[in-house]
Amino acid sequence: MTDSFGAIAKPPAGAKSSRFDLRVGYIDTDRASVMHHAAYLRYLEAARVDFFRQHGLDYNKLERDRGLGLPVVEANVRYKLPAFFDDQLTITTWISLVTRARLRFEATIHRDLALITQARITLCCAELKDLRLCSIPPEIREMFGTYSNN
Amino acid sequence: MSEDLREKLREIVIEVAEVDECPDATPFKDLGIDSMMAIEIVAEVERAYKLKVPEEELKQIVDLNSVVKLVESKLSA
Repeated sequence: MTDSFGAIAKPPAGAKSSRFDLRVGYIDTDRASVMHHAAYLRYLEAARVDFFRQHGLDYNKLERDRGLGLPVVEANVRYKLPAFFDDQLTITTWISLVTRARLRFEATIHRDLALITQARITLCCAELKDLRLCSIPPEIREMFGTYSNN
Repeated sequence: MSEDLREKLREIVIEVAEVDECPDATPFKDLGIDSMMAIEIVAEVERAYKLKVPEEELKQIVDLNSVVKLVESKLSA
């Protein structure tokens, strides 16, 4: 099952995925106690960094030792249900596409069994010294490519 | 051979970058092809012609002529 921008509702069989739990902070809510739409992007990023860690890629080390970053070039977020202050949420993250230029992440955010958000975030690779775009390093492509799924 | 190659590479660029046309000397940036798309084009060219384009040569890719030149040099090496 896919969303309007093609996002997949759950990781395909065999995909490397990660689970990231969080509780909605007061600072991330608006006057109605609803989680602000921009806050989702921060949580989704935290979940991606955790995804890398769980699968053997230290993002901090990639930046520090290799001088490479993985900036976001596209973000699609579908807000299906509101989340509220202090809600316990679970972000499931996986990669659906790996090419020489792009890593495309899919993510879902659930509160218990309720799907509240679907997201598709695309990253590229850049050299931090001049922010010049470069290829995703082959070892990273290899690390995640086997499990990629269009 | 050279014209065949040029037309095949043109097809690759048009397909990968999803552009309507790709004149020989029109800069990719004028066709809306950004640097990320240029890397995707190179990846497809590598796959199609079973060759390797090192990172430092990616910046040579600015238009179709440069793609043809690069591929010809790799195939004749």
